[in-house]
Order: sequence, then C-alpha cells, then structure tokens
Amino acid sequence: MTTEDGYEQQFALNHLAGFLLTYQLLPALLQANGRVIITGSQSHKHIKIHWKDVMLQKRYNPLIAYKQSKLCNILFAKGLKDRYSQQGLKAYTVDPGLVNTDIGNKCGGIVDWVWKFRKNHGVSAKIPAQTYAYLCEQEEAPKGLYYYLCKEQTYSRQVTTENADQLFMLSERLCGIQYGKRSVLK
Amino acid sequence: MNVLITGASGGLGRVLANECASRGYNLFLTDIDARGLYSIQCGIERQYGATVTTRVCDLTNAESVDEMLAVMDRYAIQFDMLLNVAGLDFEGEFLQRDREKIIKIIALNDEATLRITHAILNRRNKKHFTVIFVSSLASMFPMPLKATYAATKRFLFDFAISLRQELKKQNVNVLVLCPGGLVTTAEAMKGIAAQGIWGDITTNSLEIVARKTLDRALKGNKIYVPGSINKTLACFGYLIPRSWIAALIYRRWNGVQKKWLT
Repeated sequence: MTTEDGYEQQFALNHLAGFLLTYQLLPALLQANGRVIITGSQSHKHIKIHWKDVMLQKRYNPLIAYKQSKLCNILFAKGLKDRYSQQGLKAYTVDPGLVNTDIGNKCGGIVDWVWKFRKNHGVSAKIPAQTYAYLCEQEEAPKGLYYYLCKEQTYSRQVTTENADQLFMLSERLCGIQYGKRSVLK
Repeated sequence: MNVLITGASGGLGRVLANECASRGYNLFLTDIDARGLYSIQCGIERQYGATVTTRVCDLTNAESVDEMLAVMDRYAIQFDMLLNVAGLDFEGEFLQRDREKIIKIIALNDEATLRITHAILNRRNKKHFTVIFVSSLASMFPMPLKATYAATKRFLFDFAISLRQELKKQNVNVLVLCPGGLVTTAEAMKGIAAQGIWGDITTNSLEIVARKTLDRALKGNKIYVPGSINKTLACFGYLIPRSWIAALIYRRWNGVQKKWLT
C-alpha cells in the first residue's frame, strides 16, 4: 500500500514524516539549541538502503521495508547532527527495545502474526521513556548518536556520512523542501 | 510513450502511475478527487522527475469529459496507452442499497469507461496502441451481494475481448486485468481481513500486479488473472453451473459482509 503521493507507507511515515516535521520546526529548534530524538530500532542492523529502489517497488516485503525505514531514522539523525551540531542542534536515535504497544495490530496476515509473537516478550513503554527523558534532561548534551537504556550503543556500519547525505538529499527531493533554504526565526 | 490513466489517485491507479513513471512514460492522469490527483502528481514528479499532466474529471459526466478532451486537443496529444482504472462499488444487498448508488456503479464502471475509451481511441497513435481494462475476478462469477459490481465487471470483460477482435488489425492490443483482492485502501484491507484465509490467498501485491499488467499488455496478451489460486477459481467459473456458484458465494459473502460492515 502506498501513501497518497504513491510513496511506500513505512518509508513515508517512519522516515519522511519526521524529516518534514523537523524541517518545519527547524527555526525554533535552532533558536532553542534543541534536541531531536528519533525512535529507531535494533532492526536497523544487517540491512542496506536499497538506493535503486527505495520504495521497494520491485520486490516488496513489509519487514524489509520496516528495517530499512529504521536505518533511515538513524541516518537522518546523523545527517542532522552533521549539519547542525555546530549551531547547537543535537540529534539522537533511541532504540526503545521490544515494547508491548499496539505495533503491528492493523497489518493483517503474517506481519500481524509476527508482531503478536514478538510483543509477548516486550517491556512496558515506561522503560524506553526513561532513555528519552535522559537525553532531554542532561545539562550538557550527550555526545553519542544511538542510545538504548540510557547508554550509548554501537550501530550499523551503514551509518556513514555518505549514506546520510544521500538520504538527506533524496528526502528533500521527495518532500519538495530544502533545509538550507529554511528561513531562520528573527 | 504517452499514457492516460483514469482513477489515477486511487490505490491501483497510483501504483500503475508509479510503474509507468519508473519506465519513463509521460503521464496524463485523471481522477474526480482533486486533492488526491495533486498528491500523486507531486509524488511522481519528485520521485522520477517525470512529465505529469493532470486533469480533474468526472468521467460519468459527458461535459466534464469533453472539457478534458478539449485540453488534450489543444496540445494535440496522441496517446500510446490507456489504462481504464476508475471504478467503484458499494457493498450490500441490492434492495438495501440506495437506488442511485446502484446506478452510479454502472455509470462509472461501464458507461464512463466506454465514453473515455471511445474518445481516446480516436486520439491514439495509429502505429501502436494499448488499452487496459481493469475488470475483476468477480467478473468470472455471478456474485450475490456484489451483484451489480460483478455484472459491470463482466460487461467490461466481454467488451474487452470483443473490442480486441475488432481492433486486432489496427495495431491495437486490448488486455483485461482480473485481479482478486488488492490492498488498495484501508477499507479494502478490512474487507480482505474479514474474508480470513480466503482473503489472504486471493490477494496479490499491488506492485507486482501493476508491473506484470504492463508487461503482458505490451507483449500482446489478452487476459491477466494474477495469482495461481485466482486462476484456478476463474476456471471453476467456467466448469461449475452458475446457479451453484451463486448459492456458494451467497453463503460465503453473507458471513464476510456481516463481519466486515458491522
């Protein structure tokens, strides 16, 4: 299923939506030396971005689309950090771990079943919420990029400046925006 | 390659538009939903850098169609392909449905499709042209509780086969697509889920169906029923007496619709 613009849904919602929202908020974020926290996942590992077919039109698999969208999350955090950390804006990705929420409830078919099975081992949402709070509350902005249970974690080797830049440019094109041209609050 | 797609902002229309754009075709998209049409235009232009022209049009209204044709003629557009995707259904028993809504199903699925097909055939590239009709697996059977819809799709199916014969020697190929379930909208997804296992196995990936539809149409095929289970079901349509099928389907859809619509 695609969005109204004909984009693959998970890529559009999990990644592009946050990309566009951050763009809209950018002046305020810069003014406040803000922090952007993006919800990622452990499942961003062991996958590459399918640059030639980002929407997975040729061979769609919902779980691959999910994994790829989670890699996009951490690449976007990296892209933001590379561009704006000098100006005081910080960006992080949080891996909430497996949480017992209503994820997967509306998917139907095998995806529904996979999530049902996985979620049984999930923790309460209170646990990952502590990591978000931790990143917000530190007086001095934490230096890392990827956090799980309030601790910095290693991430996929796919998270490079080159990939982050490529995704940033692609996302700008797909959203019809340019971060560089966003006017600053006066 | 200039392609006209009707119903372009709906689920299947969007995916076909994407598929055409990825092949580098020039698109003329039409739909009654202005906002949806604008969204898919932006999406395709951003994703592929393709040339996309759009026009909001109510295909059931002859004047609205004439206005669109006037735009095409102003720019002397000749088409290489027409994808008749626009169509609709309202679920439920014949007597429990609104009279005008039932007429609307025929007006769009059949009347409007003929109107636009006739008009575009007169604006076709004479060297080669392809028409695709989106019929349905439902065209293979009489379908109680979806009676009007299934009958309109049967009309398209038979019409497509006849038209193909008429235009064979004029470099026109006609393909009729008969898909089972397609995950086009959240509503369609609910319907498929309500059918349980039958919903799952008769449902095909939109992207794959879109790609194969174009491949087959360009190869000159005439009928495309996606998926082997759907093909088998279609065969039953020929083998089993139609009144038996009707009884069987009535029993099944009755349960499904109760689950789905309540």
